Amino acid sequence: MDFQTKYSKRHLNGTIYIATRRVLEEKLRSELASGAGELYLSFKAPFAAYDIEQIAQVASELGDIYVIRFKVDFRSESRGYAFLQYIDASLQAKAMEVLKQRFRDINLDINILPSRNCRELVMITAAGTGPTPLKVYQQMLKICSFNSVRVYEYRPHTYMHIFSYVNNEAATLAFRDIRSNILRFGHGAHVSWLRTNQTLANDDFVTDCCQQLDSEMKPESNAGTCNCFTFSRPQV
Amino acid sequence: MSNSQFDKNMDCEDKMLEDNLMEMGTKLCSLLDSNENSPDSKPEPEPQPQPSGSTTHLVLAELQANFKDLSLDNAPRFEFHGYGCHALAKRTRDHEEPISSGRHQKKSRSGAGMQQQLQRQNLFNWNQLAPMLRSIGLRGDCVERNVVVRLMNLFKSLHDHMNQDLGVGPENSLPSDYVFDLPKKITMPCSLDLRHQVHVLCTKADRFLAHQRRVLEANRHFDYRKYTECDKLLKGSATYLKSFKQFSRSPIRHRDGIFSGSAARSNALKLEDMLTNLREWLRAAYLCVYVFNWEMDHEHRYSAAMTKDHNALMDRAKQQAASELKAAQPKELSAEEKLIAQRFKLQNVIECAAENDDFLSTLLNNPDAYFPPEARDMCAQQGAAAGPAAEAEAAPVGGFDLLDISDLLEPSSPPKRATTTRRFKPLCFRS
Amino acid sequence: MNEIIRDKFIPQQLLYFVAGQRCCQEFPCTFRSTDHEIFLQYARSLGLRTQRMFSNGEMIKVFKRTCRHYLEEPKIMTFSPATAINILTMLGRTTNLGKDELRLSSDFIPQRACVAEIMVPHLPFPTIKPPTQRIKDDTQRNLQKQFPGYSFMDTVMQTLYKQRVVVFSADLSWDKSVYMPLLIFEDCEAKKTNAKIICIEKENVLALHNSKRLARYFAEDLGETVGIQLPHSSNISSETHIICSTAQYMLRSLTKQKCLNISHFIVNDVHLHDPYIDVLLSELRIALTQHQNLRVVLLCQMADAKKFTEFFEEGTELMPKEGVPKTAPRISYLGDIHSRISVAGIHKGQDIYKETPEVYRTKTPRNEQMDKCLEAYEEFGSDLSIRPFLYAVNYDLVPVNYRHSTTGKTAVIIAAQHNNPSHLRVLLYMGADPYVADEQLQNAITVAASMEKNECIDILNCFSLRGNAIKSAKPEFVDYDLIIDLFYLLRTNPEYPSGNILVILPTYYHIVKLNYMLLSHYMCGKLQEFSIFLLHENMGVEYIDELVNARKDTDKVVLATDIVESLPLQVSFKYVIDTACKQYSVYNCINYCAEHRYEWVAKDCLLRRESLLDGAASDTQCFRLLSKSTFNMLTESSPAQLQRIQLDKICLTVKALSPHKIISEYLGQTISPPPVINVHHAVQFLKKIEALNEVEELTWLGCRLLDIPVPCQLGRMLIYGILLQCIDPVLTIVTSLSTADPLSIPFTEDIDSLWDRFTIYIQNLIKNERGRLADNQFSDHFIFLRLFQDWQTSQKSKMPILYFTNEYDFILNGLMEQLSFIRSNIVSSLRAAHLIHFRGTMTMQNLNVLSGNWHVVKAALTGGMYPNICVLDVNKSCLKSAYSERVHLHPNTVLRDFLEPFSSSALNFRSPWVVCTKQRNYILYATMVLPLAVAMFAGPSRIRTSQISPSQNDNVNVYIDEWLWMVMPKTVAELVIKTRQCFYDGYHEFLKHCSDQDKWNADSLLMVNQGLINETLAKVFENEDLAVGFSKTPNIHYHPIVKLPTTYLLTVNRHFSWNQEIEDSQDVLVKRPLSSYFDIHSHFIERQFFVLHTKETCEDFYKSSSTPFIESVLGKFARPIESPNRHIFVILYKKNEDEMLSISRAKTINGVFTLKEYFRNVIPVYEIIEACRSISVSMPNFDGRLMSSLIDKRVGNLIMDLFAFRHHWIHKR
Repeated sequence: MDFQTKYSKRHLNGTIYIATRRVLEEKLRSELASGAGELYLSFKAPFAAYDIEQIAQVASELGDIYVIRFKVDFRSESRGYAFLQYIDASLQAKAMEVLKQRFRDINLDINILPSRNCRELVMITAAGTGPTPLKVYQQMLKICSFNSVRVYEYRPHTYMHIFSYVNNEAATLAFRDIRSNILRFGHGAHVSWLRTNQTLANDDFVTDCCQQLDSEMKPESNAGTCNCFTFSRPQV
Repeated sequence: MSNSQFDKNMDCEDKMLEDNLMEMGTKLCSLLDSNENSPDSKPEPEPQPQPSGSTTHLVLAELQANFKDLSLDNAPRFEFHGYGCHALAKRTRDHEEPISSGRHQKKSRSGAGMQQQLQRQNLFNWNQLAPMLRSIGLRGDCVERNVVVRLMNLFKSLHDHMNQDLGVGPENSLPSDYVFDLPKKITMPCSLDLRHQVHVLCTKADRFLAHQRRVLEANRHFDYRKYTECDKLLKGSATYLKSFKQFSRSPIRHRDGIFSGSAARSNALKLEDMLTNLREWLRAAYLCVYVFNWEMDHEHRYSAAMTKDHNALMDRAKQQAASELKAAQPKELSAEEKLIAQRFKLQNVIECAAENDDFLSTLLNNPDAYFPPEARDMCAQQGAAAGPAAEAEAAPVGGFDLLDISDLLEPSSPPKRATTTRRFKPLCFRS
Repeated sequence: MNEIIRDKFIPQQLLYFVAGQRCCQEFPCTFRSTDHEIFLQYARSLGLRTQRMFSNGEMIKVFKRTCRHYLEEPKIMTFSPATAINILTMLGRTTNLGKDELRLSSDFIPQRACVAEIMVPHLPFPTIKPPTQRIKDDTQRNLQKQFPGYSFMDTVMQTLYKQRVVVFSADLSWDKSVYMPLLIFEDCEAKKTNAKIICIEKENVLALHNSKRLARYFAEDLGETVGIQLPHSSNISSETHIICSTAQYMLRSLTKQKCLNISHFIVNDVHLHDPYIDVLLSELRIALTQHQNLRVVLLCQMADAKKFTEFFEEGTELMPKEGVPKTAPRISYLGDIHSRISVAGIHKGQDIYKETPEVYRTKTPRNEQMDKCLEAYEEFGSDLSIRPFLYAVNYDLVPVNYRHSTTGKTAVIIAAQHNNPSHLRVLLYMGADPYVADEQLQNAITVAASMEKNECIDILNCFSLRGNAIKSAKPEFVDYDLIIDLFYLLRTNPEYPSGNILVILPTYYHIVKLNYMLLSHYMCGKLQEFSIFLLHENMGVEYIDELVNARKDTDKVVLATDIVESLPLQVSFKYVIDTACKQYSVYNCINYCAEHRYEWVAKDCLLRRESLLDGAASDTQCFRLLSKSTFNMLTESSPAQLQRIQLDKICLTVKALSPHKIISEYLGQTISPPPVINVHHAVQFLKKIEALNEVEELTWLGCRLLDIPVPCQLGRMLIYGILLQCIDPVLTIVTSLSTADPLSIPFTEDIDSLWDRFTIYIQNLIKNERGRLADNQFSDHFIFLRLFQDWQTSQKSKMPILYFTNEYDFILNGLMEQLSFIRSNIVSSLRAAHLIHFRGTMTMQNLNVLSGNWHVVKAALTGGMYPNICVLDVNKSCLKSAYSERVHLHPNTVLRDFLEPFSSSALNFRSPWVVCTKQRNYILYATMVLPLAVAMFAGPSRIRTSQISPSQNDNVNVYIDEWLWMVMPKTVAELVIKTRQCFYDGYHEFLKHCSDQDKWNADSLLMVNQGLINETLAKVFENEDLAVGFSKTPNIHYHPIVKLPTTYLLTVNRHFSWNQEIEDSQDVLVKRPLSSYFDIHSHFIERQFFVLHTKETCEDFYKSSSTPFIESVLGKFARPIESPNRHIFVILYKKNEDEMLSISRAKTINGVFTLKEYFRNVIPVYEIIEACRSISVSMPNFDGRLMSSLIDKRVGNLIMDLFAFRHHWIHKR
């Protein structure tokens, strides 16, 4: 592969990235960053036999890769899976057909699926005595940035928080950070992955019952049936 | 029809949702409980006094009170659903069970009961175990059954014999714990191929005997009677070795200790026999030649001064042995100590002190050895300060060291054969 | 011939032995059995003891009387029939699983690893290329100009073109570790030459910090131009041109890829002679011969740079002259400091514990005995009668200044009475204080004077002339009280302008302790406000960030170990308090163990520390806590570490680097060649544990140990923990052994002046606590386990506790923070070394199946601790070990009581075998283990039938190694050896193949077999333990690893820092005129105390009290009187128990009246009343008519003091 001009390779802890050097326009970039057209490659054991650059090379024959992320262990050996994104997200479907065959041709047993892009974490705080949702929100801001949080009071005074992140990677990092700071959320706080079978599209987010708060944190006049509310950054 | 079917479906779905929700609720509860480690983990939280259930207003109030701190420009989205909000019900559809990472298996240690029961069988005969032992290939007699293993042990032993140095070397002047064990030049090859082993051993034995021969010839003119005695041994060894060499050609193949054929097996047994005998020959030859050479050294090669030194050393050793015999007598408490122990009920402490007799005696008689010069200076006369400081170099430093100062006596090294600089004597005995 | 052998040769051999130094000797196998008899006879006549040995034939071993290797008779080993059946069943099952029954190859072919197969921990570097051009912006240019070496740049580059090796020597302020890589990089960029610059630091955290700073220069994230490669974090990309790393890690990767694709090596702090850096230098020297274009830049501070150029035999030194002359700081030594403090007359407030509460002098047996020792000495005055006392001081930690309970006499006074100059001298050497007065107010000096005994008077005169405090002559004594006094001087005396203070301490433990003391003094409001920051080796980078990012206007107090010498901080210090001592790890070749030793640092080191002061500022001061005369005696530069440390890890590293060289030869060619004896010991030890085979090649064990960041012995313990499936407890023990022990019994010097009167009392209580935790298991290692577990449980359910209770709790938290930090590091390393897998049968979960079983953990300890095994010799009533020096039980260990002779401790022993952690001749920590465990896990991994010889009655002798010797029934021997074989087959298999994860799938047989063995062993050991009379083990629950907070100290210091307070009240500040801002700085702070009644417990109170409630009961009274100069404190009082519970500072933050809890404890009111009486303050009255009431300031202060200066052990309820 052309690592001089076209791609860059980077090793960060448990991940090896091979990413394009092309400068993309903002919109495309943000779309890709949130996981558009992501593919999940799973290898069959023994993993040590998989050569990262070879896989990337084969994958790049189909089109320009945006990024391919190989998960590796401490010895830089594959942990059995990788994520692949093309700059042209629409290549996803084609890749699933073509690449699989291509890999098989060179004796690599790699299964290709669309990525689920898990990027939501659920945190449960202790009943009654735990920190208020706002405290959690503020603490969480100190730890790492996230896209949004939904709080459900699934029982009086007992909250469940669902944090959503830009993409799986950010969520993974956040998961680790939260775990090491879990005591900040009071005793009995617990965090785990929210396993969804379908990724949540953004527009699914605002539920009917929620009233948008304005910049002064006052609810809009037309109060709904239940007092749920939401706020977000002002739309530009 | 289709409509009612649809309704039914909807009902089903709603029911499922509700079930899911309940299930999830309990799971979350158990999650919380499992996080609390104490065995008497709290029961379900008491229902809160507020009747309405939802705390939306409280949360909102808090939010409003703090909205200054929330710089809205880059704040992530915040969404809140109070208790009873129907969004909650809808959302749960997407949830699978959150995986708990804090789960762990506890292994119950049962079987203790059975153990006790077994122990109660006090009429136990080890012989009862014999059939069981035999089933896993043990006979209960600690005898090695496998010929190959026995052979390998013999090979090793022969190599050891030939690598060995007789006599006392320089390591004698070092404490026993100090073991020099430099890599040995010629060791047993790492192979289970018996023929190869035989081959290597032959070569080595050849060289070994040649070396002994050279040593012997150097002493020939001193004492012919002893020379012939040794000569016989060497010649005998050499002939024995020759007959032994045939094994490097005869079949003794085996695979993981199982011989391939009866010929190989009988050969191996024969080999074992030969090796044992060869060992005896080499032993005798080596010892005799060595001692012969050693004696001639003393009688003919030593200068008068060396002999005198040597004799002095021997005398000193005898004295030392005598004094050691005396010192080995168990120490009794002195009358004064007994008196103190009795009168002040200090039996314990007196015994403790007796156990550390060496240290305490030295501390009292020769305190300068234990303390760093800084400490000693404190009490020394101005002028005298320089004196002990200079001498301090020899004393072990390091403050309150409770080391016994071992006697630094070094014997004048006994005569020994010349050793090249890098050849420390490899000895792996003890010690 | 035979006569000569008999009459002359053999006797003479024995005489040589007698005259020699050795205490025992084995005579070669070359003697014949007829000769053996002669040996035995003659040896006996010389008074030597003999033993027939068996190792591939009979041999003779002779011993002198003093030899401690000699086991007069073999130790008996047998087990119950139940055990036999268990083992048999297991063997029956496993042998069916095994393929071939003999496995000859592993028996006879020495284990040898192929170094080429060991994986390198990271990817090889990509091909080298020139950096892409970029445009420098102004900020970068400005940053560049800020370097002190800016004007010097051209010279540096010129030299670098001319020479391949450059030694650059300048002090820390030059910021060389950032300056040099940047300089080189920019040059390469301009010239379009290849650049791959490796920057080597000493510690991980330094490399991390440095890489961040470099990345910041490029205004990039880490992992672009600047990368990092460390064991647990790597961030590197194909554009990376500058890589930060540590020497140890770099060496590890050099094993395979040598110096390919590297253009420049920048090695920082070479003057410190870190052992790995020294080895790296050797590697670089070799690399220079192979790579023409490699450039090596060595950075150092004020070292003799010639040494390095001579070592490389090329290159040049660069020693830039200072541009701006620095103002020399004022340097004070101990004597000066003492007089300045006494002149300044600092006021620390009343001493609330002035009146010795007689309660603490209650008759403990130890007190009684010591009293009697003194009485006996007073009566007899002889050498024999002082010995018990000397014993107690030297072996039992009794303070040398112990005062008789009724007469108050010390041993020195009695010695003066008896006019015994030699006793007097010994006692003074030992640190006795002649000024201590007895009940008649006589001290040793007055007594001697009254006796008119010249010699004693002379000694005492000399002493008073010179030795102001003998304690401070010892480097291991860190005078906390003096440091606190200095803080009072600097933070209360207006003559000393405020400024940042740096305190350099020897270890982390000292840091934690001083942190507590400073905070409690500061929180009492006695010192001006400051924020505390900590710097040490085992910290996350967040500790440095906290300091670097601290607000400029904070007065910073930095407590640091010597790491601060290599950490360029943009913080200017006005004062440096330098304890001038350092803890070295020194290998003691007499005792065969590494020991921690405190020593004064060398002069060059003191200079480096001094240069940390802000050069530009005037009247900076450096306080060195050593006397001027000691200073004069110091050496110019400290010895290289390589020459002193235990070399086991180094030997392995070296062997991996050049497998074909003899280790001692390689190390002999390093820049600081270690003593040959140390190398030999290390190699010998490695062979003993089979990390090297007999021809000094790396075995698989050696390869694995290489990657575990603990000494080899401990690493091996971890491997046993893994194989016996009890990794978690073993991990805890291993980590505890490498950190400070919170429950070690303190010496007098460890206890600060407030409490040193209670030394014996405190020691007794700690000893009791150890006994409680050990719970009759005869194990000190078990205490570590319980302690960690208790702490873990207490942490789990709570937020980090931010209030203070007492010093012990604080220190415990601090030490545990470090413990869990190191612990998780070790876990990551084990994962990285593939010793623990993420899936399959070697997962964390699977390896903890037996973690709750203490019996198995003990077995793992036995295997791991070998050869540190001692055995009880009943007749001689002593312990014997492979190290023939006498070994004593340290008072620390639970195996003995205070003042208990060994012969009586030994009576309680359940088993003669003890595995131990030694320090010098002391057994510091010991665990008693079963004979079966020793037979199973001690010695080489292969016991051959040739090590067995028949004994009487169907028994056999088994010679486990050259001195461990057991006798057992034949059947038992066979079973043990067979089980060993099974276990060690798995052991070797695991070590060899652990990096091949696929071999360890869930369906693989390997671990199944091991699991089966372990299950049986668990049963068997439990069985046998109970049979020999160990009491039932208390539960040691295994908790799955929770991520524990590792920044307790950071959080606490932040919580109580003034930095934080400012932030809280930002709004108020904005509104207020600027002048009041300075009021906060003012030391004259008035304090008002409210007492608040509660019926609940403290915890409930703080949990339930809402803001409106506090506002209603307190706010309305307190708010009007609160001002920056008047602090409001609230004391929580529980009426029905008559106890004070807590004390908090009340403050209006953002308009809300809030309480910040400072101290929490339980102090009964009678104690307060007593304290009031002792310093004659009018008695307070706490009747509960009002919810809250204002109390007398003096009483309030007193209560505050009682809360702040509370001793865990003394005030324990």
